[in-house]
Amino acid sequence: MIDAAPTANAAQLPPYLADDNVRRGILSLLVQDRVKEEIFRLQQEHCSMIKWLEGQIQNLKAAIKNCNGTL
Amino acid sequence: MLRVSGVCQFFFHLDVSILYLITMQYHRRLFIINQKLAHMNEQNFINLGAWWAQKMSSAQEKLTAAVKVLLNLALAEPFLRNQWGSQCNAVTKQNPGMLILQSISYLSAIKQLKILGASKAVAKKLISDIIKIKDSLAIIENMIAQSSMDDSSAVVEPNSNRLFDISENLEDMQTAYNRLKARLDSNLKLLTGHDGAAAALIQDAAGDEMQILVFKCQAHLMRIHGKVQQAKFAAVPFERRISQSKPGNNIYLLPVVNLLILITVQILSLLSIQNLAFQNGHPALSKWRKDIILWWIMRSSWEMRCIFQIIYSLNPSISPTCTISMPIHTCG
Repeated sequence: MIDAAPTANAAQLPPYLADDNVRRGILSLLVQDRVKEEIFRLQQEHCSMIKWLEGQIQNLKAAIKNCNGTL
Repeated sequence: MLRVSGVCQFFFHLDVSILYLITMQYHRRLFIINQKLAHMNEQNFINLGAWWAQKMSSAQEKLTAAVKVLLNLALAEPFLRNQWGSQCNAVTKQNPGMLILQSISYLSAIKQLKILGASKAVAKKLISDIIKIKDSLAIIENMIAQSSMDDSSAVVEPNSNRLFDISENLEDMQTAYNRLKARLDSNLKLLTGHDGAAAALIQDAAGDEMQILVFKCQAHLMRIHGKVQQAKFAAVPFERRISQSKPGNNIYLLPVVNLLILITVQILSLLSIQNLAFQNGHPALSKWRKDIILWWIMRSSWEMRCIFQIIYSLNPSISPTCTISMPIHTCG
């Protein structure tokens, strides 16, 4: 059975279709972008955690400072 | 601070408690949900640091692997981004109705006008006009959508008021279209004097948008035309029924038929008596002269002609000349 499908010339195809290295590079680039976004969000969350912890420590210090009397 | 698993857990609790939450008021529901969230936060707070460290380490691993692959391939990042963009463009179909005018930001328009040497006042006026045009376009689109919704609801119950409203909306759309076109022309003249390329760009964009609105209006009109045709065809059987039930067709038909039957019976009896009189002599002749001849003689000639025409139409086997000549012969 003869394959009647036209065979495209590899030289005419764009690199994102013909070149495997380019395809892998695009995939890695997209992964890199998403990971950077994830790290940015985690850093924001880290900042908010640090702020919350500082607030809690200040509250504890204030409570210890204002503590009077005996246990 | 909820993670994805925490959100799933929260929705599970919400699904369980929705049976009694649905009967409560808004603020009570909110209070109960807030209490649940606070409780789950407290429970998850212990593991928050471990979760954060795990997510960060996995992200760092992924980043390291991706960077390693990119370094091994030795391909420039702009080249890869360009290839990814071209791939996206190749597999994405362009929207023909995309508003190009929105892509031109107002700040860039001001910058262009400043470069072209136009004054700041003219630029501000032009931008305010463009904003007004965009507002008017949004209003027209809302009107089209509202008219389409009214039109779809009017199919069930055709009403003259709805048709009147639709026609009013169409008139308003026409006037707004003319106003917008005039304003656009006047604004484009300002731009054409300085930069032909920018004017052509804005003119094409505005032309496309106007053409889209015109197509929408035409589609809306075709839809209304179809609905009117359907309503017209649906009204034909009712018209036929109404025309059939008009007074004068059915009301007077039965008495006329009865009268014709009575006349026919009397004439047939007259003819039979007449034949008997001619055959047997005086007994039938005397009866004919006493009872029937009075009714017969009282009719005028045109009434007799009409009666015999009716009889002939009822019984075509009798010839009209025979039926007319017989009484004349007998009466004489």
